[in-house]
Amino acid sequence: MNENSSCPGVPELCEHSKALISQVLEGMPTIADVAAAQQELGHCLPCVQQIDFQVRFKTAMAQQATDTAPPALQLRISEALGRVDLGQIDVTDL
Amino acid sequence: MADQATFAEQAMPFMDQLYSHALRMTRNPSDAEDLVQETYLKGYRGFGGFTEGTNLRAWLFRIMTNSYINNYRKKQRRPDESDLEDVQDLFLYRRLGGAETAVLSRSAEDELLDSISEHEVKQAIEDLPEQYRDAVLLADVEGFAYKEIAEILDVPIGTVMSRLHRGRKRLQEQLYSFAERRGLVGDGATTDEAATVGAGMESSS
Repeated sequence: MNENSSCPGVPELCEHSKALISQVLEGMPTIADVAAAQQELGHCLPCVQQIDFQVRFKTAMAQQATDTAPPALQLRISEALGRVDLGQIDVTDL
Repeated sequence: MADQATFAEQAMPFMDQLYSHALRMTRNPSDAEDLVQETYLKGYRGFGGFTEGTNLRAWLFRIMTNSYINNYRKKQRRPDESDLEDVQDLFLYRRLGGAETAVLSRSAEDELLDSISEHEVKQAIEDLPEQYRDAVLLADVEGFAYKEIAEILDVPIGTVMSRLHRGRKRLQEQLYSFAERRGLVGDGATTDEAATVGAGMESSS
């Protein structure tokens, strides 16, 4: 049961919960960040669960939406930078 | 003032992140490679104006974003921003029957998150309207702070927060629909699974 009268117990409707979730999701949250936020919302179980879910969702996105550059790209760029030095590419034209 | 001779040494370690971001934006490997190369060339050219000790990664992402806007975006058809106007805050909450069913089970949540394929995640992100996609990528994939995102996208921080809120909501809605199609949630799923997923996603920030 929610002990905080300002929190309706539904994360979407709780301004404090939404602000904390937004704060926790900034950058790459640490375990300590998440724990501190959950402790602050300890009175509201759905809000605590919501933070946990959102952090795990963010982590899953970060892990799955990444790609590795093709090995040839680094060589291509290194060569291009060399050509800029030689005046063969005018970067202002890009 | 940065020394141009050290540019490659300092900037090359960010290539995978820049390429990954470029690929999500252009949705085309060849265009992504060109965009990354253009970013490095412009970065090299302008490196003398970069302030040592500030965030080189954010600086490169800003160059890439500007290059994309100027050279690539115009030739690609993108969903309109208004496409998101119909996203309801309580879409999933209502769909799953309200708070009464919102009993979380961490194992079921983990199962859902584990079951969403890399392809589905990438597809869902690429399908986001551009402004929301960029904010979500920079915040949730690249881990930039909100202030940094505001600088990269050259918009007020309040706009970043608004785009993130909407983008995350749409992304979760899209991934929910993938899970629903595979019977992980909705009518084909157990009550616990459906309640779990809905409770987690209904109030995306």
